[in-house]
Amino acid sequence: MKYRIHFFLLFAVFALVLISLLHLFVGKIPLSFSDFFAAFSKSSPLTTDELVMREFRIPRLIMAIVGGGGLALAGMLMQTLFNNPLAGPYVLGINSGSSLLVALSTLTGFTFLGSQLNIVFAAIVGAFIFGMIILLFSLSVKSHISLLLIGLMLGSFTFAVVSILELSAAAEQFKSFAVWGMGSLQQVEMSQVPLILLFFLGSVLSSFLLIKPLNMLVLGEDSAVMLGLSLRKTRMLIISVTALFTGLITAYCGPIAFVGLAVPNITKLLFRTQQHAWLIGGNLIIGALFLVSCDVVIQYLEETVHLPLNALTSIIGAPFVIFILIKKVT
Amino acid sequence: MICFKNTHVGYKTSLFEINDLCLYTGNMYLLAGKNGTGKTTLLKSLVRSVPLHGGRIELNGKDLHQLEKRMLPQLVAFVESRFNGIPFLTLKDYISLGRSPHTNAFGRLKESDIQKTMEVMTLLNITDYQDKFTDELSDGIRQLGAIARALVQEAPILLLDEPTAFLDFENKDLLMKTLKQIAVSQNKCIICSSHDLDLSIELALPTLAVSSKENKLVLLDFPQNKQEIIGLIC
Repeated sequence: MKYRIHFFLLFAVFALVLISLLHLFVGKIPLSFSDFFAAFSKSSPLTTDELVMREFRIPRLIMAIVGGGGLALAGMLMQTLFNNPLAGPYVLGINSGSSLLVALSTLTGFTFLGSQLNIVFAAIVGAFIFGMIILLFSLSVKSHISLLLIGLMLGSFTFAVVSILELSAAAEQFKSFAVWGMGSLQQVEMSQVPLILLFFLGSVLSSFLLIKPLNMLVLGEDSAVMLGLSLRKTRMLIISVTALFTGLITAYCGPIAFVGLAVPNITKLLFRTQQHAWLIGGNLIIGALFLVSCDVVIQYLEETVHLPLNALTSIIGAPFVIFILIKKVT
Repeated sequence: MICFKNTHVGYKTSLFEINDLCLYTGNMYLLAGKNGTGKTTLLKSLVRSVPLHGGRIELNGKDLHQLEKRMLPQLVAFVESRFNGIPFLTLKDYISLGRSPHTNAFGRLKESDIQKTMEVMTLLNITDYQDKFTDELSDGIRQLGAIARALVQEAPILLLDEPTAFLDFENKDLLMKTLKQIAVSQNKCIICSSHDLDLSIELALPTLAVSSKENKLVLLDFPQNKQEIIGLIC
């Protein structure tokens, strides 16, 4: 039992390290190890290669790790909370909340905080609001599929509102928003990385604090409450952490589909456990591995075809959802 | 000790009333009544899943509804009528979750928690299945698992909602005998709802009968035959 989990976890860590190295050094401009070390140690002036390493490759890799791990964790939180293997921040429309508020903010020029925090703040607040909406619906909707349909409707609704906003926006804002909507790991600069890591590690830590409630929720809400779980508090905490992950990642990378749905299922199939201490670790590593691998493919094909990240994850993710539905893998 | 004081059981309307009745530890009670008379509602009222329509319930002299939320699981454990199993949740992990009221904020199992789990699994003779997934077990073993989870909770009051409904004759008999033994040896107050009135005669169980004519709960200390109970509940 335990050996199985140890094996897959170690294997995933090993694979993540390898693929990360590949990610750093494969690309249009070939870079070397010395560029990597120089990016950290040398102050200035940097050569072009060293600059590419520090300002493009490293932030991009970090975003792939943060994005993959974070979305997978957010998906796991949703799946356990709603006791639904098909849940995830994207299918439940929690991303849409981020998109809506980001669109409102970038396309109309309305700002919350007026700084670089603005988009992050908008995205997290949007994710939280839509998370609460889904939570409210989940109280009256019993079927797994119905909840997903509501998530889908939230997405359509947002899409409609956003298109109206897009039409009335200036051309430049329209373009920057459209690019954001395709999902990309390349928009982050080194100077933003510390803040992103701070938010990310904070959310990961919060997830670990939720281990006991998550394990209890596996029994179903009624049984968990009879064992002393405070349901209202737990729901609020889970939605908040999910919103933090989803908002943060959506703000910097745009919407990324299906990672949050597919990875928690894969992790559970590999680990064959319901102990969330292991599942959190597994989702972090396997989620990161998944998105870094996707980005390596995108980097590799860059010369021939421009693959938007969201398109690639959907191409892999959508068939996976159908697979789960048919096999009823829960 | 559970004491009912003018208790009206029911959610929206009063289903039946319990005038003045106390149930004691060291006993196993059979809860009998026709379908839809509110047996499950009574059990759920005792874990506060369902509010009372009126009156009070006291546990060891304290008002059930005044108890702190986290105290309740240490006093009352509940076994639902059917547990369907959960994929990738091993029987041992499932039973260990019953220790939740006793573990720290991370749910970490101490040596004593693991020992208690093993002890209960041995008592119910299900140690062999501990590493099996709960959705892959037979109905009988799974039901024993659900009871084990309630037992490791170490609450003095144990409520079971038709635990024998999905068991064959042999398992049914064995389970009820084991439960009666536990009530005596671990000094618990066990209430077990069932349609199997033979059991109450065979094991000489004091029987709580929901009388649908008078809408009352009546305690028969030692019913002599099935007809006596049937006469009451019908």
